[in-house]
Amino acid sequence: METTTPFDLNCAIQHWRDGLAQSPAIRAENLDELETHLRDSVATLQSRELSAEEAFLIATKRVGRGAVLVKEFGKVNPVNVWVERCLWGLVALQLWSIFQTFFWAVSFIAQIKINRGLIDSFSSLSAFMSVVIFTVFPIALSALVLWRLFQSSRNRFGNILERLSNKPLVIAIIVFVVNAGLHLVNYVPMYFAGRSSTGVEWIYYTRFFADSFLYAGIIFLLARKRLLRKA
Amino acid sequence: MLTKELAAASTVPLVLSVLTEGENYGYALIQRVRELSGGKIEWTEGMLYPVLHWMEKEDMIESEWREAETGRKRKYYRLRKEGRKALQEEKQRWLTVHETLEKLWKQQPRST
Repeated sequence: METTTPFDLNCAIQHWRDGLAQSPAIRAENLDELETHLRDSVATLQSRELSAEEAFLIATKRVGRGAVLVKEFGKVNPVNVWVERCLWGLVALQLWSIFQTFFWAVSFIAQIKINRGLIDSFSSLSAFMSVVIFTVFPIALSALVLWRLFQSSRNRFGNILERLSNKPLVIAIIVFVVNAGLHLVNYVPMYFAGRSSTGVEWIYYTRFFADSFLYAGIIFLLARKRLLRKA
Repeated sequence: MLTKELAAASTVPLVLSVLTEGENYGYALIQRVRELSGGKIEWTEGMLYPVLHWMEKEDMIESEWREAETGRKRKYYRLRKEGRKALQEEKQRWLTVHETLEKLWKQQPRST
């Protein structure tokens, strides 16, 4: 292997460590222990006339591939793995409700334009079409987005998520605002359609608030748990 | 070389046995096993740590971060009462297998 820049052992070790740190199964203390091991191993190999780069390559190979380590550590830290899965599940739900609301709003506006009538606009969608528009499309789109996220989890998106979940309060506030917004978008057409002119708006507002608050609360607790358990 | 299954099954008794010689840290534990086995027992080194943590959870061993003479911080593992008991049981099991195989192999000397 040709390298134009000189090999920086500390930099290489840090990079290796960062790769492992992506997994919820490996805690900070585990990383410290693995790093000490790697440094011991590199030092031993270097004392046998190997260059720093050669020693690093052999030492990391002996420690094992990231995927294997993640799987084994996952067996001793199962809670961390499940907290992460729950968080991803909630992200999926969130995406789903965003897309659902989006389609809801688009179809509503489209029907107003076409029918020029408000009250009939909801009943004019066939049952089949509404299932496609409000369930199948949003689920398919969420799955697509999540799949993309997982694929690039080592790059930009992964880093953004990692950084966000390191600030549980920030992520909870964002989730709260997004959900309150989604509720409003869902509600406004109904309001204009005259469906809630019975003077019970406060029930809707309370529901928006309670829903969003609950959801944000669960995200906050999970993100915080993830943060605490990784430390 | 051990098969994957045998390597996995023998990790706990090997760790417990090495720790009867006194407390030790992961890297040195692996070196000791490699040296005693003449290089025939080679672990995927990183996989030892989840096993150590599991053993700690089971109260077989305890651990402590301490600074070594070289100034490097290391996590040392020490045998506990539960671990000595587990080692006795493991010893029985491995000796049973060993003795049985040995008897069989004495009856039928290797023809190949």
